[in-house]
Amino acid sequence: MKRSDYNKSIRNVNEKRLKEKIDEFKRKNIIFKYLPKQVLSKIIHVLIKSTFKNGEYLYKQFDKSKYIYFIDTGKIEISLNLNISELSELINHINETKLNILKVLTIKGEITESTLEKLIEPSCIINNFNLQYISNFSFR
Amino acid sequence: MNNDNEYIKKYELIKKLYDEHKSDEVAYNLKHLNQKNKNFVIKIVENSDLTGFEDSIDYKRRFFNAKCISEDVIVYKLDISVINIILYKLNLIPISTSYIV
Repeated sequence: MKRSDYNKSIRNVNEKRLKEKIDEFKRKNIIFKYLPKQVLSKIIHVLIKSTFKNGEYLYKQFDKSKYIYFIDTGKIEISLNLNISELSELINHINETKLNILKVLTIKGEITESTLEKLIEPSCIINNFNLQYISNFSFR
Repeated sequence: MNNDNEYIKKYELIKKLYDEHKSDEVAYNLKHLNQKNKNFVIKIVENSDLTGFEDSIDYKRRFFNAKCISEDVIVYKLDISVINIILYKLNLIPISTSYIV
């Protein structure tokens, strides 16, 4: 086999893999659904795949924020470490306001309304996306 | 306060909350406390969700704990500087020079 043919074959395989990866991410993650292919292909290259075992933490409260995580498979529990007085306060708010737990956290001022929306339903962000912006977006 | 007392106090508080609201989230927290886990569970995320988004954007420190509760959790990590640049370009976050390197 000629060297050029070999290189071409490798390139084709890599392109096919990249296309499959992009399609998979578009299908699974609504945040990427409307991004142009060239942007997504750049993002895909900087994603880091990691595997965790049952009981392991992706991150803990007060850790420095470094990554966001796209869950491919498995379940993750999101929790807060509250002491008794914080928990009592939270429950009082729930009882007084008849709101759900996350709304109470907002009232306490610990997270903003806009952050809350992202937290409850990440896909809601896409509703606010200006699709024209997305289609025009490119990395420099 | 020793650990046992703390669990009992928390259990009493969550049980009272459950009696009044009977929601799935509170029921999950009761079960959680019974297993001697002291953290208050906000929600469960799974396949196709993303996590770490909320505090990555607005906070420099994690607001929550994220613990795997199934075998072989596979995730793709994306550096927040990348997502912040995207959101900034989409006018979804205010200008922050720290994100734009």
